[in-house]
Amino acid sequence: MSQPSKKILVVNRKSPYGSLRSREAIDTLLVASAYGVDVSALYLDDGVFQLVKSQHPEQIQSKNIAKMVSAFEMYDLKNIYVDEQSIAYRGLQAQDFVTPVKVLNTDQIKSLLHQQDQILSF
Amino acid sequence: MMILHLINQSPLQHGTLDSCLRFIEPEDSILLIEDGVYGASPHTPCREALELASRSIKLYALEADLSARGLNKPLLPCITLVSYAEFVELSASHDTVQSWL
Repeated sequence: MSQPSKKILVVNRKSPYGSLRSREAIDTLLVASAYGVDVSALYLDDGVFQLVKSQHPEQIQSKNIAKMVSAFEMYDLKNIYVDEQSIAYRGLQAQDFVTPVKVLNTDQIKSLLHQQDQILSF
Repeated sequence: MMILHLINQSPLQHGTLDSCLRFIEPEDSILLIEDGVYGASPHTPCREALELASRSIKLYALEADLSARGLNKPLLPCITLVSYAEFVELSASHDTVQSWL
């Protein structure tokens, strides 16, 4: 148990309600964080829509993804990264999101990916 | 022959809307549902194609799917929001329904 924790990155590229991937990624992030793993999340492409405020999925009988994302801070999940290009393409800005995020450019994402011991894709 | 075209994939990550737009005829309608509703957002590269299409056909988006995804801000003005009941009416009023899966 004395080994240093591996650095894990959860990469999210899918929209919140089109599939169950967003739920699975959130479960992974919360469990990893609860076990003290050095885990971060990166939101790319349509994955950035998971972070958008005022989601009301009651009518489509789904759990609110934005509400789960807003609990990240409480779980000590602070390294939440989003791709600058993906949000600009979708007309979004960092203030549209339910949790504080770090907006990264392409080069910063390249180095983030290359710092990881393990990358999990959803 | 009026066709109701259903788009259920995000037009920002799939080519389904573009494929659909190649084959529409003036009597047809397009209804954005599920992840297709991301196309209704006013600040995306889909805007031009949808505005052009709206000159000849009617464009709709399912309100419940927009609301679920937090897309309540001003949407593309060329798109009419519909309820589940209106979705049923649209399906019945067109001759066929083509789902661009």
